[in-house]
Amino acid sequence: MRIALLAEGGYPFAAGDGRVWCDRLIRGLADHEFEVYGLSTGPELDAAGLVELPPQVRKVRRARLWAEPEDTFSFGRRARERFTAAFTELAAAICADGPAEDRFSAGLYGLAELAFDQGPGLLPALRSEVPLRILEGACRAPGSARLVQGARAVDLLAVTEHLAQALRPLSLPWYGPEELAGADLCHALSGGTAALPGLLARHIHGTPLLVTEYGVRLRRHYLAAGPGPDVPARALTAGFERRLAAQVCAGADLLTPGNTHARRWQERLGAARERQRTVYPGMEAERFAEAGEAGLPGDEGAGPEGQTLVWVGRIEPAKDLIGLLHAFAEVRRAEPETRLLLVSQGGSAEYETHCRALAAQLFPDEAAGAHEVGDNPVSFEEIGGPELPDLAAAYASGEVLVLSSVVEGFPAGLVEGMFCGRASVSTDVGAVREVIGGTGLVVPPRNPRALADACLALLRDPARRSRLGAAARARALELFTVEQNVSAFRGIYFELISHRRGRRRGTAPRPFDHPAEAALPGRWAGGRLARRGGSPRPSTPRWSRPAQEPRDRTPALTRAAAGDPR
Amino acid sequence: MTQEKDWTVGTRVDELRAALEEYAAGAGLPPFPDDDLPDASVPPTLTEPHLMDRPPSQDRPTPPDRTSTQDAPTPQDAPTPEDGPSTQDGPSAQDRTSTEGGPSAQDWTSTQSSTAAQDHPPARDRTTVQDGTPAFPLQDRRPPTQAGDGPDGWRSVARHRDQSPHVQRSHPSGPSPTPDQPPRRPADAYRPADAYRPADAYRPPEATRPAESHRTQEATRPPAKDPAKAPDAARKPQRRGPADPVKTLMHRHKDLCARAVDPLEIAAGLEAQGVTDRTATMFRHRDVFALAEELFARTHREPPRDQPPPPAGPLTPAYDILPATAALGAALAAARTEGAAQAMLILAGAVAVTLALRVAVARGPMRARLPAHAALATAALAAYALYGDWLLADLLSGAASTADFSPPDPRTAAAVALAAALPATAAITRWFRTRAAHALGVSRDLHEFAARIRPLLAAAVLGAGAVFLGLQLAALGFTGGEGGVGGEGGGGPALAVAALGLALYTARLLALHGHGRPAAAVLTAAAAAHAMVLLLAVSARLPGLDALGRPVDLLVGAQGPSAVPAVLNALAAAVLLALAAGSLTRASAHRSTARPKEHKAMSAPHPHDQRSALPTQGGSR
Repeated sequence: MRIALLAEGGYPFAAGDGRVWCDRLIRGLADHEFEVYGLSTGPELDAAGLVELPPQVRKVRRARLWAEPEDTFSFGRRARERFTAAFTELAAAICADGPAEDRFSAGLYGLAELAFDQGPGLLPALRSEVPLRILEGACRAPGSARLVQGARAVDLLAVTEHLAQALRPLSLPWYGPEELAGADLCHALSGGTAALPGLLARHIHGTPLLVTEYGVRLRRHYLAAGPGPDVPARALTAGFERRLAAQVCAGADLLTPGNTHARRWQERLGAARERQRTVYPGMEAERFAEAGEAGLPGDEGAGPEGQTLVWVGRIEPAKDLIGLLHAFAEVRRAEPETRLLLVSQGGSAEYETHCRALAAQLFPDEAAGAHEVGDNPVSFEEIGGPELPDLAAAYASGEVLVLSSVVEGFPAGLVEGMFCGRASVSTDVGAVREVIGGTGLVVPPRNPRALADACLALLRDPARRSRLGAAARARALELFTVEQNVSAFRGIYFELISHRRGRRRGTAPRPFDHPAEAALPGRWAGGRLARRGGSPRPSTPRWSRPAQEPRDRTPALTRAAAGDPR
Repeated sequence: MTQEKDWTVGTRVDELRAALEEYAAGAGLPPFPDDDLPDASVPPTLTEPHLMDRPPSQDRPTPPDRTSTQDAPTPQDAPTPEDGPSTQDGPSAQDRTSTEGGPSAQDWTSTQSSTAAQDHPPARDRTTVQDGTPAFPLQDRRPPTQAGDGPDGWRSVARHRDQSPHVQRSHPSGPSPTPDQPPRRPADAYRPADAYRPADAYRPPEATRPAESHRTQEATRPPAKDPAKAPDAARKPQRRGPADPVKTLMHRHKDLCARAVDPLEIAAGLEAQGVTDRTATMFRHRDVFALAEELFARTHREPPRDQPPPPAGPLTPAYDILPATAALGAALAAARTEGAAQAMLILAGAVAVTLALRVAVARGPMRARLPAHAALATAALAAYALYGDWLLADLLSGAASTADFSPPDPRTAAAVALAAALPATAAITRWFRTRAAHALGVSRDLHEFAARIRPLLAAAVLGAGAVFLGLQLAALGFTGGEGGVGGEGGGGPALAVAALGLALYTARLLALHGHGRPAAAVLTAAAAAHAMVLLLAVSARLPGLDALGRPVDLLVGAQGPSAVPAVLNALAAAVLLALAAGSLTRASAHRSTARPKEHKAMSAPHPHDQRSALPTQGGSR
């Protein structure tokens, strides 16, 4: 089947974020066709070029969100009236203080239909004087929010500029029969502007829309707004982004948040629970297989002496290494033979200096005897040396994995530790509790005493450690591998397509006349003749026979003329 | 009496005493010692939890750590009397950490414990001493000498309480109340005090009176008091949270709250700083969104200030003089030569001036994009300004062929004056853009902005026209009224070239504000009109087409050959000025002055936003 991937600033640009998991997804679903529609958000993305595309990707279409068009406003009178009406609704929804989803969707789809009929010309219209006057009137209207009522001319200019950029996908030539109209499914790789072409395709042609969110796009908008325009302008743009996000949550056929954090935001924006399905991001597990299978047996007869706590990550203030060092001081007070291994993967150099200084202050060097050279119980290492040739060796070199962050998103280091079968002690931040799910100890953040107690409990109990480690590895293998991610999406694709009626005939659709598997290449029906070696004419039911050509695509005009409302 | 009395907080102490004595008499117990009851002269205030003391006891082992007893009801709520307090080495790791990852039963800062103490007070702590005496709940305001000197003083009271029917939850050995007898109300006198049980169970009364800590009574007291006091010294500082912890949070994040336009923005900022739903429960909210709503509602916002105007564009006088220099050089050189060499020099000079103009305009404030045909139109108009009058005069004079033409006399002085207007017009443009940006920042709505812009636009245009005209007249005077190398003088050519200059300047101003296409269209039309005039003059020489050249003849005959370009250029300038008056007074034309020319990245990753780097975190390793 043909899947249209919609991305903003990510895949397929070589400098985009989130391109690796998209690449894995595409390579994992090798029997589908993919078309990538990328929106670039800055000139640096265009300059860096594209990633190497696998053969499943048949087409790549790119557009720029940041470029300024050179056309002037050239609408006719009727188009101008439609534009005014649609934009009035949109402006009223942006400025409103309460629920105004119907006005927003009316305005957005009105503009979309205008752009679909008129072609390019929407963008110069958005930069002309008409939207400024409409927006000014909406800001001064009685029902508008308090913060937007003080909007000035410069604020209105900034807002229309932002709208012209955000609504750029409306005027792109992506909705023809060869593009999104001909796709079986639209998969938006983030919410917001990336999902906008998918929303329009669903509105105009009925293509199902699947929205995946690993980081919340609305949250990124809020955090990215630097010291720019004043409060009214930011209130208006935030209102637009919020309504757009709510529209995406309401209009998508299925939402797949990556963790509970994104799920909470989607629920806050009004997504229905039955349309949400959490699909965790996947990581490669093969490189940890050896460490995971080897670290589990009962060779922990060494006892608490000589055991190591290991920490892996970027050294940043958000990781709270200072708290970890204090907790390690407590641990050493109870068990004097333990060591702490900090494996750094980059980060802030001055924070690392602080941590090294604190470690040197808290822990004097220890030696085996009076004539031996000693070293610090806390060791700072990096991956690539002879002791730690790769990441799996880093995790395998400790008995307990520690995570002491204060701010954390999705703890990838923790998941890698789970793959290696390590019992972990981590702080309850971000998605940690969800990831751990009972296979490790979770302590409150910024509480070195609690962290130390938990580490001691694990260090003193090797049976519990191995139990937790095995459970962690089993959980990671079940939830966080690339295979589960890919197979989850494969199942979701099938499910979404199967809900959609057949598009190939103008007559009334019959049940099962177009199963989802028919869109895949190859023969799916077996039958007696296949077992006997096949005959030139397979005995398939008559009503499913035309579905053997998956390449036939009727144009949207034919289907619309045949009266198909979708 | 005791049945009807409502033993609430406002009970008077003497009534209490009477009730107690009555109860003791009724139960057949020895009377309560006088010094166990609070002083009647001191009004009871049962609202200060730190004054609700328990009597010390010698045999009470003292756990060094009190935090475990501060929580929300633990399973130790109603232990048997044989249950001692927790082990000597403090609560085990199981108390602090959640086992196997579930939500930890104990909250992790004492702020929460103190707020919990206020709105969810710890249940009645029944952890008793080894002899099974629960604590005495009444407040103690008397000096320590009166506070039960002997160990039996408190303990006897406690033992009496022990046998009351209302403490039978854990002591089933006491006498059970008879069914027909109502519950012993005097025991309820202890009941309201339970609600204000102190957080610390075993604090001796002396510890709450810091003035008496040095008393000698402590020295004479049994040594069991010292372990009772030792936990005070070893206890962690009990942080009493403020009654309004959200205020502290608001102060800590005051920058975020002040610039937020939305509760969701505050929620995003809080999450980036590590506030989770569990932290929000500390502030008595369900999740971070509810906490953000409260912060948003409580933040005081200042009205928006006037923004400072954006910095003015570059002014490059060095580059601006280049075209004039090149034109002057070419003109001087051409003045010395004749014929084909002159034409060559003029051509070379024109090319040099064009290049210099492109460089100077590209670096100056007048940098704009015009369609390609505008450059052709400009070149055609400039060429007509140089040679057009001569060509028209010769065409209309009825010469037989090209060989009879008079020698070509380009109006080089006019061209030099035209090029020399660049620095002044660049300065005018820069001034106009600065004032327009200021007006944009100041004006509150579009109507006000239009009212501010109109005089600015008029001043800019008039100034440019004055510059062009003045330079042309100066060139006229410089060349002695001859208008160049040769040819007729007079004000006509000056007017024509000045009008041309004004038209070109207005076209560039329009292009600068985003209306380059109509400006280029007008210029192209003007160039086409000039070419049409020449064509008419040429075609008038054809047999039978004399009528075509008659209007041109009339015009030229009246005012001279420079009247034609004067009229045409003035017309073009008028049309362009009308266009400018219509479109430059709108705010949408000044979009580029409102913000500097940089590409705004729509989704720049925030340093705290680790979730945005999630897919690379998950995949790049």
